[in-house]
Amino acid sequence: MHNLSVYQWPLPEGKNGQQAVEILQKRVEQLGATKTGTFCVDCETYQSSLGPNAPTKNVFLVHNTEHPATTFAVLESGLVLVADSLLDIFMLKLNGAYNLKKNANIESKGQRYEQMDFVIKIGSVSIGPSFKGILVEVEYQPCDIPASCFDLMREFMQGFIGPSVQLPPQLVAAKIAEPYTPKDTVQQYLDHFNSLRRTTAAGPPTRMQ
Amino acid sequence: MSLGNTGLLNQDPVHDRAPLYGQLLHTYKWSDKLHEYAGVASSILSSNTLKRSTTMSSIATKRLRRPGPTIHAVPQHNVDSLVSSLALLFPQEMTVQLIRPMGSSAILKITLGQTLRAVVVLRSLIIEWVVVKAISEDHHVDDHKPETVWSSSRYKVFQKVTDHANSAMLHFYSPNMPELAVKSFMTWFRSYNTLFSHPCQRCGRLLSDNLPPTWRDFRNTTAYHENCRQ
Amino acid sequence: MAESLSSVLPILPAKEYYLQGSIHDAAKDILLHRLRGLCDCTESEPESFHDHEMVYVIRGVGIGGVQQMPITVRASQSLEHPEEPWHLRYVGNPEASGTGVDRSKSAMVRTCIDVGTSDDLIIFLQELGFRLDFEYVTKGYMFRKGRMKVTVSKVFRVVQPGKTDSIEPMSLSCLVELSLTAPAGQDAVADDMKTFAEQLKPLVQLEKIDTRRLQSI
Repeated sequence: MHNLSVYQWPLPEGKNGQQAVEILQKRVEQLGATKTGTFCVDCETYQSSLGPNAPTKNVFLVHNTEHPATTFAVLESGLVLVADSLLDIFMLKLNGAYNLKKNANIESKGQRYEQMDFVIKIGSVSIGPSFKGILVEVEYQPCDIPASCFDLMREFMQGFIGPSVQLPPQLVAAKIAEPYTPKDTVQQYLDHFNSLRRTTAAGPPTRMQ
Repeated sequence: MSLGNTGLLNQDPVHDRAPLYGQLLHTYKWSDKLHEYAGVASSILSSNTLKRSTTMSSIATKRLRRPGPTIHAVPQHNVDSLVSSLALLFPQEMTVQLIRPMGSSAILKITLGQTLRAVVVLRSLIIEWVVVKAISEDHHVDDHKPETVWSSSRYKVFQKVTDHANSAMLHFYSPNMPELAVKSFMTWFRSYNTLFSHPCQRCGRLLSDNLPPTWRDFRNTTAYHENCRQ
Repeated sequence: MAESLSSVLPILPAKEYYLQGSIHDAAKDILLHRLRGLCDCTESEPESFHDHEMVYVIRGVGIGGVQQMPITVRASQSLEHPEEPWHLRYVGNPEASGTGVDRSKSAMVRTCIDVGTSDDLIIFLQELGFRLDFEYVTKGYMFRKGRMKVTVSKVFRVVQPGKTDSIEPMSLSCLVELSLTAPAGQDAVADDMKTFAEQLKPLVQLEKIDTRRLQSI
């Protein structure tokens, strides 16, 4: 129910993924944020097999450690179904009509920080062993209307991301006066995943802790 | 659970429409619970020597003669009419709901726009307790979960606002004009509608110590950070 | 994937053991009373339910246009409590070891996966390519005895598609179902069910009924 923004952080010149994550982590720690464990947002893709005449459809299953018992199933139309994590097993039963796409699992994994009512997550995105980029998530928990608190979040984010943060992410901006939901988080991550999937690996492949 | 021989009532194969056994169990549980509560209450009360009721020792009654009826005891309908007038104060931003989960004391559930919710406990017409929480936090106050009134918010910003609301409650306290006190408090409290978007009057920024301006001036409701107020 | 699966698997109730029977409406009250005495929570009224069940089907097409076996799933919604989560259910075919052929087992066994979901389930299934096969409404009572679940319910036909208020009963009887979900391989629970079913005789005869055989008759 909390307001949240996800940004992609471009790699600084001449740094690889791991170094860039360390730079960001150091900045956040200098602000006084405390480490509160790790987090992971991952996405599996199921592809339809409904005959040569039917268009191929994708179903994305997204898991977020912030909601450990939940699976979010996202369709290309933007519909997000919120379900128990048993949906993972259910999808396997649709084998024949919907099949798990091999080597398409993408995840953002990293350190979670808390500072007062803010939560910061610095994740490095990878598909299998190949590094794809860095996603920074900032959450302000007490308020769920982006319109009321985005200015405040911007002030906070400029403290460690820099002045490049000006506008809310497109998806948040589109419904800025409506209450924010965990579905919106999933959609934000998915959009980033889909665009990162298209980019070639930036820098040498690295495994994050 | 089985109640000895009476358990046989439940095995009666003739389906009688009077649910005798169920009612019996219910009564038994009720009286058991009453006994347990009374026991706990009596042990707490006997260890607490500070008595507030007037039926206590004769010395106290001599010294403290009560001057007629006080604002601590006003008819319920006065409270009701005050609350319904509060609901009309700011119909756009503030909704007020009255519940009486524990006898006659009224509890007001206040929702301020999409910013926050507050629980205000009234003792007749005097505000006794204020808790401020986020919209998304559990605000389910009823007979079964009265503890949500006493627990504080999970978020630092609302803990601060709760502190300030309590100081405001003391500031506006006026036993001679209790209705005015409650109304002034509400007028002041309404200014929190812009808690997350109104910058501090003094430093012009939204964040200080990672908190928005949580203080509102008592006279003109200007927003300040806690450290920025004079 | 491997990680998320392994975290779920230990609690996964993979198999449903079940026995079915029916009872005439006139004798239903006596059965309900008997169940109240036998099952847990005797002090409270039995839990009632009123659900709308929709059965959806999808058929995959493999390489070379080969039609696969149709896959059937059930979506249900409580009509009494529409604010509760929707229910998505996958039920496999009864396993050969549980059917009438194998007399050593005391109950029917089938794979079953229950998923609670948000209220956009129907649109989700439709967009996936599922189509509605049939729908019905059930109304009845649910009892618990340890891990066993007993339902006594009446099945209604939906007269106008999608309209759950215009319904008519399928028969003059109630469906009685005794079921239990457990991880695979716990066949001992089936014997407990058999014992319990014995206690309901002669009111109702709970048996292993192979519905596929009924269809072919």
